[in-house]
Amino acid sequence: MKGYLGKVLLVDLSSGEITPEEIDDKIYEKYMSGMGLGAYYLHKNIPEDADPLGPENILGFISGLLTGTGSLMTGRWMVVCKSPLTGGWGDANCGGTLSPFIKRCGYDAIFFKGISEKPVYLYIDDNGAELRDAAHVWGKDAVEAEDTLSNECKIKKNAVATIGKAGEKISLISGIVNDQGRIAARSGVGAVMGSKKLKALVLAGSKPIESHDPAKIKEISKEFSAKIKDQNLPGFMKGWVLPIMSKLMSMAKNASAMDGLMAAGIFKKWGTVFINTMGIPNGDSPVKNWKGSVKDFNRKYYKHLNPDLIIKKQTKVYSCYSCVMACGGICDIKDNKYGDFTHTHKPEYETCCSFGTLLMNKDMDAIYYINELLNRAGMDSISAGNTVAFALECYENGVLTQKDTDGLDLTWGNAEAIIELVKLMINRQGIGDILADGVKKGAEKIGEKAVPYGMHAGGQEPGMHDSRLDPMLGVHYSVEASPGKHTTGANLFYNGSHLWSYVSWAPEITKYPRKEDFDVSEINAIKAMANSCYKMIIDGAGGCWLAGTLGVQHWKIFDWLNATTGWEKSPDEYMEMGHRIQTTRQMFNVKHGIDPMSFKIVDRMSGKPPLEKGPLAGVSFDIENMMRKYWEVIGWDPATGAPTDEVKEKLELK
Amino acid sequence: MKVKVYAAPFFNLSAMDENGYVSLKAGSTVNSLYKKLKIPFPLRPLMKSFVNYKPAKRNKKLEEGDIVSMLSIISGG
Repeated sequence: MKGYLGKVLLVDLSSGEITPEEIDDKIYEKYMSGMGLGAYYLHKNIPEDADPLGPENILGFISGLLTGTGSLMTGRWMVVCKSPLTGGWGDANCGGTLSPFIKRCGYDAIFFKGISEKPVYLYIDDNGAELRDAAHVWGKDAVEAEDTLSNECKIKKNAVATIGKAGEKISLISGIVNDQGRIAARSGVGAVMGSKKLKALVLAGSKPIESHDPAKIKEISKEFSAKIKDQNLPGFMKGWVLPIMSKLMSMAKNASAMDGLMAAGIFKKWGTVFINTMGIPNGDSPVKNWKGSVKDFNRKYYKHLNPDLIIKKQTKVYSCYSCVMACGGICDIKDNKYGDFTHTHKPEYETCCSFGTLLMNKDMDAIYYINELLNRAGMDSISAGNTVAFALECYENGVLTQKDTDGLDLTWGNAEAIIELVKLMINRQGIGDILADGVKKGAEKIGEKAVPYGMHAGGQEPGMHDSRLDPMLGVHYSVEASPGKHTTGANLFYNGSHLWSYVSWAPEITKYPRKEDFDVSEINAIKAMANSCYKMIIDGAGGCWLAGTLGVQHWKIFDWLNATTGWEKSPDEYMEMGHRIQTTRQMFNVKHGIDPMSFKIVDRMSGKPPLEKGPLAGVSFDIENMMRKYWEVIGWDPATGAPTDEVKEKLELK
Repeated sequence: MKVKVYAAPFFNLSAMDENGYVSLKAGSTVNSLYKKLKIPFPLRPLMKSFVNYKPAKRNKKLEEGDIVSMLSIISGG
């Protein structure tokens, strides 16, 4: 067994039993580890009528096949469960330092079922695993809980994953936190952990992780590391250049293949916040709950979100485990006008957009403050921002009034009211109790008139990238088993991935008219399928999606996988594994009663009706038939979205 | 001769053929490619390019089949 341990731990929180389970080598060769192992285990073990917040649901923490092997940008951990937000497959992943500790404890994954009678946490070191009382940390925020548990641990080298108040209060948009505020945020995984009365995991193992060919791994890593080191931006690249580049991009008639590595310098300089201003002139960033544009959130607004201003506040740059790009940072916010936090993680672009551009809010102090509030509460900033936007539009249209909002004046850009609303959501007080479960559940409680203002796909709020700019985003928002996520695929991503250089069936990109992105065509569907399968490989390996965007000719994941496992599989064979994982997740959804068409993005997100102003004015696309074409190409019934018998047979899933 | 060019859509791609290649005279340099792609003169000294995935100066001579990479933008976050 190389790269994986061949063992998982099953913790029954109802009975307190902790049982190691062996996993056959063949399962790893079919599903890898990470997302794939999770899909295999949950599909097999969660009964179809299981309540996502009940004892039959299983919550899994899984490391990646490449994690801890010396490969680079492969240190992410996955959380999987049946999602209480969508009712179907749920997953989230996160960087930080937890992932290698799962393996150092001797397991590829830790699964929890049942519900504990009282708050507990799981402790594991080289001597074994035990459930411990968590009464003293229940009620603490994620940062405080991590500090307390980590300090209590006699072994200094440890990692903690915990929920904050949002998970304890079963907010369906809550996540699980590690490294002082970094969240595996999506799918409502925090609510599942809270429903099980599981406050945290403290992992302090130190077992070795073996690989088939460590010298080869080192060689590939050295080459990649040198390439990243070479990537530094020229001096003229300041934040003010980004909107100009964005405007030029929006005017481009053609798309072409790109070398994704050339974006590494941008990530090294700013992290993801370069998109704060770059995403606005071309329409990538949704404005005013997806109904506005740069005509509304113009330079007078977006200049306040300039990434140069954010990195000025940065006192420390950090990287996740095994990363050489280091896009993370810590910002000093001692002078923040809203609160008394001393520092916060550099907010990601997604947070800056969802609490900035999406809400017409130009107050960066508010964004830093909300970032820290949400990190500590363990609430998903993408879903929370979308939900606040939903509330603001309800308020604008009289569906909510000040009587409903506990007196808050929820007008666009009112930073103080937005902060108060976030606090109410975290604490589930007043209107916050209604909104703490996201836009779909919120609209169900408020009433029919609120429904048009909720942006989501299958109940999950979308990432901050507009599908009307890149319709393949809309396809992935709609066809993935955990919908609404921006980290699976887009044309821009595919054009930089260079998958066609390795995978026989992946269409080659040269130069083509951008308008073809909007066609319902087989080639577009195949590209989207390639994105999905590749993402499953990345998630099986514990890889970082941003590393995937650098291009597979640089970030040589297929070579690392073979050097780690000794499997000697071809890229086509790995993509078949990705196909199997993707199809297993879809089978999970069908088994649990999900109608795949119900995951289609809401009409506004596909331009129905189209915007009247801005770079995306007049754009709409046929998302329903794009979904059907994707289903047809990937081997799912184009009428229902259910995997066909033929594809199940081909992928040995019958 | 032809070189393969990987560049973001904000560059002028009209000189690029359907297969992503740009035709240049033998002995052309990276700077000649900038001219062909109509990159404004004041920006050329500031541009950073890679030839066959290695950093290259503006006077680097190009050869048939070389791969030239320029600034790209990949979204995400």
